[in-house]
Amino acid sequence: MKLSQQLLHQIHRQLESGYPNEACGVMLGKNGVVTEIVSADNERTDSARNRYLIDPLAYMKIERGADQRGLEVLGIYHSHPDVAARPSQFDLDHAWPNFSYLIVSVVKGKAVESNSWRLRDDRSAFDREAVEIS
Amino acid sequence: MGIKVTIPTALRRFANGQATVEVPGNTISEVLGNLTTEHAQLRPHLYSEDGKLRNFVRVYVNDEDIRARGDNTPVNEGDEISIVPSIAGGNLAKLDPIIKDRAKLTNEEIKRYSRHLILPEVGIEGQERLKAAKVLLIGSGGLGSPIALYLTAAGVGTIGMVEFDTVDFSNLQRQIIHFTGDVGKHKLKSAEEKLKAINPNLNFIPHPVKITSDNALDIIKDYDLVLDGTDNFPTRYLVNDACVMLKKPNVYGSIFRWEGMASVFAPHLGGPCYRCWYPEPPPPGMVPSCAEGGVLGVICGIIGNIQANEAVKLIIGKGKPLMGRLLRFDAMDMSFREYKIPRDPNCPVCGKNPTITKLIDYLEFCGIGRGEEGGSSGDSIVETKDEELGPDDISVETLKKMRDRKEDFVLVDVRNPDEFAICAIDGSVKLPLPELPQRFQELPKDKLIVLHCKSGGRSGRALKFLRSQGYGKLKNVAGGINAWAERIDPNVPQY
Repeated sequence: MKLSQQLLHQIHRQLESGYPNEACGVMLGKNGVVTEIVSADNERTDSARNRYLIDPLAYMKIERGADQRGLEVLGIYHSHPDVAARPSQFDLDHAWPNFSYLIVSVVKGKAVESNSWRLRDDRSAFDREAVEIS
Repeated sequence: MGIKVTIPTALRRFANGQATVEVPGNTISEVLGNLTTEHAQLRPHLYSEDGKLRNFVRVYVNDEDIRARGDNTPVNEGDEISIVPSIAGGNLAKLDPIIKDRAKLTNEEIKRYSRHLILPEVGIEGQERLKAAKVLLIGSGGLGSPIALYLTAAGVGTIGMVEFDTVDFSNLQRQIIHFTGDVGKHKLKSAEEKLKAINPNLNFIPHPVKITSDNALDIIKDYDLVLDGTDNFPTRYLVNDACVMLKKPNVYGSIFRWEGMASVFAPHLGGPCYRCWYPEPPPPGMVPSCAEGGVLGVICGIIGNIQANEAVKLIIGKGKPLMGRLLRFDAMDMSFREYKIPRDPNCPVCGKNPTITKLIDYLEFCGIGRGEEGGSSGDSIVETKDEELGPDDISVETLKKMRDRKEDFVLVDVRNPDEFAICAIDGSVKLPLPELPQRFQELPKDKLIVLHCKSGGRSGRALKFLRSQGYGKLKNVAGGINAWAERIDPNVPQY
């Protein structure tokens, strides 16, 4: 996955401002290059500190908008407040294939680590992927 | 007939890169079935191993969510089905301890809890949280007994107990906090003596009341955590709803015969509540109580200690809580099975748009009229009172007079055969309640029929059933054979 320093910075700022809750958004682009990010509301107001959920209708709108502009949804980014930037079992249970899952560890309100993960086709695990910052 | 299906970006690689495909079918499940036959790689992402649509897969027909209508919803030519991802995730690996405060340990306590203190996951920090914790037990019966004993020994600082009953001989087989010499004593008094003997540091708060919709919030609000050891549905729903409203974790346990179950309900920590699992209670009488069906005493210790274990983990914030999971134990097979309980987004109490926002009438909700038997042990919020005879009831004294005068009636015992073997009233017709629907025609319609069971609950249900079958002359013996044994014939044992 390729991502500009400026977009990564934008993601970090959004996720930091969401702390101590989990925050999330969608990455759009083409051929593995992220060109745009769209922040999304975390619908899990009941348990926002350790869960996130994007409303399916809101997601459908984002995806249709991308389709119309010739872009693709490349993946999802979300924060792990005060824990490592590694996918949890819950992340694995709910993951979609062919997406890059960018997880940012936000400790005490500061983004400290960002890792990107892709689900295996058999759903058994995530593999870490390289993030090329341009 | 071809139905247009929109494939989300994430799955397009598995559908030859297409954004939409046309698939035949007359219902949603047919269309999706044909889709995943044609493009087999889609299947593991749309369906779980048990063949159900995964909970993060939403299906829309012409932009309407069909989840409520089910996947047998018919589709017609021109309809468009969209598979829409519900994007979710998060980190449940680490739970904060629910007890934020710490209470300093004395030197005596450091010695007492040394086996905890050298356990890395507890340590001084965890032990100080245990001391600061305020835990409420609903009931001091089969489950409440081991829970109270172990949590007291473990160093939980404050334990509240809701209980209105006194110790009965029939409790001693499983309610191990009560001893033979305690029979007749208030259960709270009996429990407090044992708990203080184990650990004099304990702050014990007795609540000598029945928990009801009027007092539940008031009682629960001062505690950090609730352990439900009740044996009846009205109280279980009441405790669940009150805990959801007050954001208190509810550690659930239940037992019946040779089986037990346990789980942790805490929507505010991301898990489901009891209603996500059981939105509605079973019809009254369908699930027999332990007083009707019996229970292995040992089971109480196993399930109660699973509850105590989960309480300790929540307090110190360690391990993986039994949340979103139901553990079921079978003592005959000696096996544990785990079931997933998903959170119901439409749950009337913990869902997104709750319709139950204050406590309701739980007896009515469970279809139990007042005066009818809802449970049995001291945990019950429903009890039968002989002095409050209903229009269909007769007292055991009246029954005695009718027998002495040799009146013409049929006395029917609706208990189970195992109970007939314990005791019976001479001359009664034995017709167990479960067999009544097949055998009721054995009973004459022109004679008075007097029904009895152990304490009046099952015979009350038998009466309603017979009335619905056209029987006109019916009476129920209030208090059942236990009242008969207590007040009429001392040779009959009570159980």
